[in-house]
Amino acid sequence: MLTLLCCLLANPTAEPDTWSTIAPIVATHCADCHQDTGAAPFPLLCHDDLSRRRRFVAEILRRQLMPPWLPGDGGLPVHDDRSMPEAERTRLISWLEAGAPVGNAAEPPTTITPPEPKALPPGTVTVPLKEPFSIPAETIENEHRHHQDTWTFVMPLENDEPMHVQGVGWSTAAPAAIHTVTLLADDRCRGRNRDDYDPRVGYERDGDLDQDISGSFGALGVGLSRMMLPDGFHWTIPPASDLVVELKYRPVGRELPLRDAVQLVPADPSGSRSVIPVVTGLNRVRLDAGQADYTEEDRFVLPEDFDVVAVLPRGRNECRSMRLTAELPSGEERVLMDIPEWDAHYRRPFVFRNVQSLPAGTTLTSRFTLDNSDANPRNPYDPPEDLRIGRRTGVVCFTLLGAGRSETESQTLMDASKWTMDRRGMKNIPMRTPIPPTPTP
Amino acid sequence: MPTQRFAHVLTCVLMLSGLAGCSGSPSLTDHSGVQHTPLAGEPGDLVVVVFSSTDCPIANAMAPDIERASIETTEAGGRFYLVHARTDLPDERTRDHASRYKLSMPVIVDRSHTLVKLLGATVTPEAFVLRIDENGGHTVLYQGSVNNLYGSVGNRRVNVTEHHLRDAIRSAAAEEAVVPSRRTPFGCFIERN
Ligand code: HEC
Repeated sequence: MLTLLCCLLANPTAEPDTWSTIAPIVATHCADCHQDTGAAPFPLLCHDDLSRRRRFVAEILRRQLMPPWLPGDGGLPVHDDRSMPEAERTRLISWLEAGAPVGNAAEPPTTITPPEPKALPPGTVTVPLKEPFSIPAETIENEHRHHQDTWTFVMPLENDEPMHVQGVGWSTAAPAAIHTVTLLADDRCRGRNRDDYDPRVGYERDGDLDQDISGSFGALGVGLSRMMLPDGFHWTIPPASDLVVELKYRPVGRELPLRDAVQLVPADPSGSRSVIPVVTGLNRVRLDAGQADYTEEDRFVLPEDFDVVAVLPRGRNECRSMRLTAELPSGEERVLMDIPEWDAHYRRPFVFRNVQSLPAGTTLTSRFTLDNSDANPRNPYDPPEDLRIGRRTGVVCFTLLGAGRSETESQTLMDASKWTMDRRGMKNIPMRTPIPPTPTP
Repeated sequence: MPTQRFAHVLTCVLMLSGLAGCSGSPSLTDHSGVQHTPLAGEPGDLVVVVFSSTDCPIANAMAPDIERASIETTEAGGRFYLVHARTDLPDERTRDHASRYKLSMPVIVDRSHTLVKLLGATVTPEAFVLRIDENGGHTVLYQGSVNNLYGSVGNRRVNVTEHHLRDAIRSAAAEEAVVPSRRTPFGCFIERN
């Protein structure tokens, strides 16, 4: 009765929904990923795709697990928003609960045409992964316990001149297995050195290089294969750079060979500013197994005016929620990003629809709540393990991409951020958790 | 937790399904065309049935562990079946799935949900470890999850640290009680027809 009432409220025409009125909702909120070449494991395009798993889909919708969307309600408007209005969620659930009626039996139910992939702008440079790499069928117990299901590749650009890039993309042969791709430009062979040290294709570590955090040159996520900066902003890749690409994957039960490539969408640098990263977050986390509800904050005061165009959150799944606020010198408080239910699987960059101009003196506060008990259903370890992890670039953090008013001011912002992230000192960072013996398969 | 035993005695009701073999136990064809009566056999036989689905990401992620469980079952002298709980799955899809996920056990499509209903399977993957009884029925020694890869639907862990099904198979093969005999399986719902 209650669901019926909700249904009537949400659907003003009060006509019971049928496939013809439900299909547009599915097309808008599901079809992009749930198609044959999408990130999701099965298509949701025709009536039968939903009807034959209707109880399951309804349950996933009720639990707000789909569509995947990290920010809470009332956040700043962002590009590629995948949030689903409650009214549409309720209508879809009610229709599924009503047995997924087709409606007009005289006509065969229509099939949703998945959206065409957006064409690449002219001049886009494609850099393929040169060596063959396969995502393993299962997670491999590896040396870097905190970097599992993470692999980094060095992709030489061989550019004689600086490259100006407004957008980055990633095309993959395994969309259902790759969840986050983060990029960094490296003109000091640091990635190559790490790669040389590891005899395999690519190397088994994250994509950070010293104090530089992966993602500073863009990031992609589940169902998000391109990230564009707003007009007037670009990345500058120095001459003779390598792209160092961190892949976070989720094994799907069978080995998947990659034939992947990076796309770089060129920018017109005249009148455009180069974006730099400012990071705020925790660079070491010490949480005993079983420790629940632990909250810590980091603060960073902007030494210069900063125009923020995008935010990229980072965190392990011991992290339950995170929030980034800016307190302006005027006293105004702005919530830049609020993630009430963090899930690293759906990590992605958020590009603001409106550039957030933060004057010098603004305090950025990042706040993280962690739970290393078994009450956290996403705790990566069962039973929970002591977490002792440190990283100069941040274990749980936000990377803000943006620009100062001039190159010099941008440099000041970036240097201050690196110094702040480093200030706690590496010596306080505890040792890595010892690796337990590998269980016999 | 005390070991619970769930006994299902097969009756002629099964005959209604039109798929019952002469012993009253359902007979189904696998993806290579071979007939099987999973729930029939000699008293004492160890039988493992895992319900699966070709497009459930949770079941597929566990395919390598399910394959290892199948090898252990055969090595212990038992029989292992992967059962797709789908009413409409062409054989070629099943064959293709088995080869892509490197599954070597017989794969059965339970088109009329006979086994689903008989065993009371609710999600994929869901495992059953059974012992064939003297009277031709069977006893469920274990019912539930394959391993602890998922903490719940939507919440996947990084590593499998508990191999629930393989532990159950080892205990059963060693004639020991399976403890616990039930564990909640997390997976894609089986939509009953
Ligand atoms: C941004 C991409 C994306 C969108 C949009 C999306 N899904 Fe998904 N969906 C996924 C991925 C990826 C998975 C596989 C999750 C996994 O492997 O754990 C999935 C899995 C599922 C599952 C299986 C449950 C599970 O956790 O594996 C259901 C049911 C589902 N989606 C329904 C929907 C519905 C209904 C919509 C639209 C209202 C939708 N999805 C929108 C990406 C998406």
